[in-house]
Amino acid sequence: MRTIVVGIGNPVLKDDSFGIRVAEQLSGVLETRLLSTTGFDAIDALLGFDRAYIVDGVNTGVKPGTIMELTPGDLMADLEFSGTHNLHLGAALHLGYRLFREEMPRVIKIFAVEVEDAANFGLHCTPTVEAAIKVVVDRIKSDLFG
Amino acid sequence: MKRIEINPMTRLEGHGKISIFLDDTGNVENAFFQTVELRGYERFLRGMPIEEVPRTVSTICGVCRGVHYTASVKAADSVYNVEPTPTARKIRELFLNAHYVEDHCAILYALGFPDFVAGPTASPAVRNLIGLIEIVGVETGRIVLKKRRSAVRILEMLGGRPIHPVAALPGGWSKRVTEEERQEILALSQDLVELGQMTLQVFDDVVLKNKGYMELVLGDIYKVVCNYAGTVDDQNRVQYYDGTQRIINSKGEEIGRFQGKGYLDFIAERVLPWSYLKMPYLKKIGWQGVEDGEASSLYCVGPLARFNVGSGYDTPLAQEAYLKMREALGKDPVHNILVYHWARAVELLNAAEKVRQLAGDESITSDDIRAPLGEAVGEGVGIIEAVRGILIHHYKTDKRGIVEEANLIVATTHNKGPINVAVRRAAQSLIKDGKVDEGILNMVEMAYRPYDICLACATHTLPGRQPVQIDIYDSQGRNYQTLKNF
Repeated sequence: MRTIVVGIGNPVLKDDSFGIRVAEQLSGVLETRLLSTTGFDAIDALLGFDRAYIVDGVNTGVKPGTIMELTPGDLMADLEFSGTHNLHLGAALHLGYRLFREEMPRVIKIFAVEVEDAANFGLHCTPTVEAAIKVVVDRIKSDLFG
Repeated sequence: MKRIEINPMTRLEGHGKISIFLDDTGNVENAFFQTVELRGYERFLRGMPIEEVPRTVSTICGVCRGVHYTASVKAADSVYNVEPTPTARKIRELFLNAHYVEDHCAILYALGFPDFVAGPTASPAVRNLIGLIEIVGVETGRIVLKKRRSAVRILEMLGGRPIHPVAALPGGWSKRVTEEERQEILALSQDLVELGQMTLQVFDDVVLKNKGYMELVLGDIYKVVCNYAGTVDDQNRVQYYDGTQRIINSKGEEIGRFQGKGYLDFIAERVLPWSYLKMPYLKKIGWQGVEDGEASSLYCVGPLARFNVGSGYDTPLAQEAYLKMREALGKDPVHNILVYHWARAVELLNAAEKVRQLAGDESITSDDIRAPLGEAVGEGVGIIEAVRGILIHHYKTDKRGIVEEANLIVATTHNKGPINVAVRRAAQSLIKDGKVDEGILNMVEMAYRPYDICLACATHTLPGRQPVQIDIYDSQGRNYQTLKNF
């Protein structure tokens, strides 16, 4: 079963780099792909794989560092956007399944961590979010290898 | 006074928001669009070696990934007083044109066509990318995305990574193109040319043949009369990687031309009390307010500006499409902003043809990909036509090439004045006697969507979208209605 980890974020913006950091830690163990947006590139990254883990930051107002495990269905409700700069993951996944059902992963798990600071420059996550990197890496490994 | 606010589009570099003010009778008195600033990155770049800057600024935006990269490496050439080798220049140009195809494709199919295919007043439930696919057919959607992916593959081959490329160096490019890669790119370029032809056909079938849509495209609601700036070659043909920046007035008369640091002679910035961002205007005309018309000092950039400034395109199929546009629109500058999408479709084909031309040139596989650096001269300006318009990267460095100051002027900043006028005009046309409904949100958004504003999307966080909200306030400042799309 071909598996990919897709890390989404900006590598120079503190907690926004969370997804990138997780994917980097799994590089060499699994196939990985780094993305900075969630538009058509997300579809490109997923096609041809049987299983995918997507890792990203999220800003919902809960305690920073909180890890949420989501499915594509959790993101699908929302299909509007006002520019190509905000084509969001839910729309991209919806489109991917509509156009390329046979080539899209049968299983997609989305790990999202609540960010504390995704607006300031920095090459490392804040300590709380940094701690969540290992947790998500271990969860993905455990999911795959037991 | 009532106040309507389209808000928020919060991003890394500030806030993009629209506020619409109504008078006591419920009609629009004024509208303001506040846009992105890049001061955060400009500060972050200080202290960084200029050769590191391209890789860093490519993270400003995941959509505009190729353009900040290309403009900054051109600035790095200037800092080190070096001209890239002919081979490196061809590779850079190939890279930028592949980026054009990919980006224009995304804008047109995700943003431009849904309004026309589903109709501008259609329910948001169908007036979106998914709705577009349901109308034009799954097979068509599949073909479009597959052909677009050919452009991404070229970017990956040339840049070393699909996102945030790593191959550019001052004076050249770090990775040569092998003959095998050239053959692959040449094969992929056929996909891109077909995508360009197909896109123009969609525009033709859906928009040009629809009388109602053409009335909207050529009507007064979405019209901004201003000056235009774009890059041309010595025959005044539209260029993307390099050339001379030409400025014309609203009647098509040339105001001037500049290259490099010469932009400072033409572009001034006005501080406005309602925005933390300065508004660019033409220095030679002088500040005339946020107004359009023949006396305006506002100018716009991007596909429509390039169409107006240039006398055509430098590839045969795009030139043919250009002549068809001119036949329909006349020889004078076109001020109807929905024509941006038409020009965008022509440019998609033009860029695809250029990819094919460049990949067809066997000399692009030469190993002469880097020129020796000169002494750092302490300053460098890199200007390209980004997909959304003129992009200026200006750096001052010390003698070792360490950045001391950075100034980045992006297309959305150049367009700030015209976007303000466009939003105000649309709001004035559509909001009457205080009547605002869901359809208004889209019709007002249509006034800024042709510019495809860049809001430094690289900080996104899930769900990765910009919520848009209209808050309506009565004359006492009380909120009595809110419309939002999230």
